[in-house]
Amino acid sequence: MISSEPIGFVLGTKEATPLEFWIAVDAKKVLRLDDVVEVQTQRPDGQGIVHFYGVVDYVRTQYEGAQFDTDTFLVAKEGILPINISYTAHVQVTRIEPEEYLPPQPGDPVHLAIGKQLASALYFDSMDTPIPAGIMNNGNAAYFNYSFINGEKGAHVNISGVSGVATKTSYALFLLYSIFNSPVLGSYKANTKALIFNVKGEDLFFLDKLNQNYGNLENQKDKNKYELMNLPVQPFKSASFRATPKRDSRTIDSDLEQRSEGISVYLWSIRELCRDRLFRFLFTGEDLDRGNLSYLVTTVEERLARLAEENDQSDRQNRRKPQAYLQVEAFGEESKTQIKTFRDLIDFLEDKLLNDEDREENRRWLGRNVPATAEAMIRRLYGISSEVGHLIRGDLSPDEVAKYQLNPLASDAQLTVTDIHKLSARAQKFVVGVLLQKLFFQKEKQGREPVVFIVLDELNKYAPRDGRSPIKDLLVDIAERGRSLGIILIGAQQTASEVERRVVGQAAIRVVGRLDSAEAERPEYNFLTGSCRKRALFLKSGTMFVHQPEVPAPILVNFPFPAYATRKEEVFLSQAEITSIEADIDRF
Amino acid sequence: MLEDNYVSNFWRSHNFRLEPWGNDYEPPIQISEELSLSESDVNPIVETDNWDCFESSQARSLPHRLIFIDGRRRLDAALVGGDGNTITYGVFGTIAVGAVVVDRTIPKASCIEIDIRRVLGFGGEQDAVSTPIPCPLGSKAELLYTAIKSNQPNTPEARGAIVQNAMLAAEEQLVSKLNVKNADTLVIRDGALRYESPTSTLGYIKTMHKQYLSEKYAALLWKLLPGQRTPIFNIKDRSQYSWYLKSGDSQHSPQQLGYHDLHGIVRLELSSKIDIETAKEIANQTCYLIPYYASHPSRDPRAPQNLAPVSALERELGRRMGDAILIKRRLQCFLASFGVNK
Repeated sequence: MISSEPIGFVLGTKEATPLEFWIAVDAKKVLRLDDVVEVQTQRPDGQGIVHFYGVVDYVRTQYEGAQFDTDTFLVAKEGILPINISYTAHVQVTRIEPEEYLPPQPGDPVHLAIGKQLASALYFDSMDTPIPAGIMNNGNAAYFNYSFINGEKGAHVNISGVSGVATKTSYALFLLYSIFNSPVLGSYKANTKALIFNVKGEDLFFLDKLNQNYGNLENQKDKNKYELMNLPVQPFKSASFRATPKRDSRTIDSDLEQRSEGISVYLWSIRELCRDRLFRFLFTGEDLDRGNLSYLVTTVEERLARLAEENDQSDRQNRRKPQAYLQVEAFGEESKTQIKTFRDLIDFLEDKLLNDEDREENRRWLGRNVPATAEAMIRRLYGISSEVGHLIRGDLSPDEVAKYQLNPLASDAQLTVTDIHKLSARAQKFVVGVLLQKLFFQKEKQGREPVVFIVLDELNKYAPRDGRSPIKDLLVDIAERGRSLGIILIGAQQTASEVERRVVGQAAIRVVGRLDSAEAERPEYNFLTGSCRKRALFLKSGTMFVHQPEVPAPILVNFPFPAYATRKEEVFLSQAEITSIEADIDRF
Repeated sequence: MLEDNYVSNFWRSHNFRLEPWGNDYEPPIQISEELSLSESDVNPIVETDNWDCFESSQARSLPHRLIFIDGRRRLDAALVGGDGNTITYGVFGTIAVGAVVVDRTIPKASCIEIDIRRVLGFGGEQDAVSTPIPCPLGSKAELLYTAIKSNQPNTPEARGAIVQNAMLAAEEQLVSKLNVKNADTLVIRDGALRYESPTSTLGYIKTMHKQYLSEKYAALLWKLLPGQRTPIFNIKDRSQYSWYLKSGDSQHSPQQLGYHDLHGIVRLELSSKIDIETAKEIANQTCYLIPYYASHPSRDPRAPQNLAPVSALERELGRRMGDAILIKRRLQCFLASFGVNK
């Protein structure tokens, strides 16, 4: 369906081409940026009609025929000059049906595309698996083709934008919500999982609660937006929340302030760290750039892995569950035989690498490295010790270790929120690296279905453009091979130009919120047209350009106010809950 | 189709061809507006006999609405030809008339009643036939040249006169269509009042082809400052009141701009059918209005005589008349299509 009256005509004073043309807009009609239009052109030989669809990316008005700039005063202020106002718009063609690349004719009537024509202009009609991507300015829903997200034809989403304008995390959440609640998942709906890293405050720990905006006020406008996209208004139904244990505490409690119920702790045993070759994630890029440290790390990691396997074997022989600690020959001043804490691990390695060089066994640990390299490694381990000591434990029973294991694939919950905001930067990298590594191994064994989404903010921290690190290698691997493994990275960063190109480049779907002006000029944003780049400098909160392989123009969308609480203050409390809380207060 | 045949037959049988020289080489249309008068026809003392240092008083009120009227004409193609041994001169011409309404209360100016006509006429007794000129590429419109019966002699000069008269007729029609009776509205026609027009219509003459005043009275012209006027005088045989006015900006004296002292002098005409008191009031109004709507020398070489709304109207009319080269090319194609068979 097209609007009955033409909005204007193809402009005759500027050239019209099959890829872009100008419109002379009718007096008293409105044509705005992002409006979608349709032009029907009769082939000059009379052999049929060609339909052009396009998105308006530039509009302008001017006094036509005014010779001098000061003529404006004569027209507007003094009313001396009669003048015409010319209102013209530039259109970026998105689709030609049938595909005949002839120019539209000057004077061809231009209509606003609505309904089916709109869907057709933006290829929504030809998407086999559409999922809602937001609401366009004209009030219609925009869609992504899920085949380009789940790895079938393409994979990964990359979101850029400056902080604090509700773009990156909010949009990633909206996208997950849209995917989880969409019928396109079919039978995989229940099994599709997501892992979100919570990097700021405790904001994401209330995703399973209804937002009070919807509970109290019956916010009809935003509700309608959900309705438009065929999405329910509800919180994330199936979510598990994981936090780090409290530091320097004997008992294992979550290190969170705002929420206590429904939270469980995650950590790893020392045995697991060694067995699964996660040792390398204790070292960051800067550590490995200099000297032979990375060589030594690999050697030590390998030896630790072998040690852990031997331990497992002896546990099996003794018919007991694999323990959390490592059983080793006596080390250190106190001649310990069990590595139960991270500190023990350092002591043990110090013993192996720096003491008694002459012993045959110890030389194998050091390999061909000089003691200075070993010293550098021990120094770094001491440095990170207090930051990860509470996460890597050997003092727990096997049952406890199993309880605190974090495995989003095995979890009952669809969404796993993992808090890392209380950790130092190095510990954050360790946690992200370890989780992704384990997930990657698991998916390599399991195969592509069901898909697991990973939402990771600040990609520039984990996969910076320069330098090498284990976690960067891992992210590049996920970007390149995750598609076939069903690991989908929803990555976000303030500046895509500072992220490893292979990670950003692999993303099939790009989302751009407000950008810094220098950043917007970078080649990473070449998919934006010139006017989009300018507009990206002042996009409002919750508004962004989305770009996907099937649609040749970026589309401006916004998304409704979240139905789930993204802050404690937003949690909707029913009357019954309020009463019970008040009763609690009275009791004290 | 009968009509079509009739038109083609006309052009086939009369063997009219384009004058090989373009219009540009012909002398411009010179219709002198002021040749029919001499000094003795002027009565300079209808308002006052004191011309030495006349002080015009402030107008009591100004009209809320002004209407500027103007017309343009163009010879699209000059024709020469005819039956047998006679030579007949003819012309394809385009005329455009229109008005600018200035609502001084808002204030806002807008073009109204723009009318474009294409005319075809011949000198002598030769009748013309209305002819549509086909437009082969693109546009759906066609150029329709309407036949005009003229009583001009069969001379090359007849061409200009035919188009000029057609334009004046169109302008007269426009004025009667505007039907201004409201005292709040003043109509200013660019050019002399050459046709019967409502009483409140002013004629605005930019150029001084003729000196109406004897030296005794004309001396005042040299002393006028912008916004000042001479007393009203009466041009008897045209039964018109008239006065001179100095237009322009008081900040720019002619000397500063390098012009002579009479620069900026315009003459205004008003039908003498209205009473002298009303004429005086209108004359006083013009002392303010004309300089206000005058254009500036930096915008228009004819400033300040040329009025800004009028020059905008001229531009608009010119635009609506269509591209001269394109139209000439079409006429040429049209005429050439009859030459092939001969």
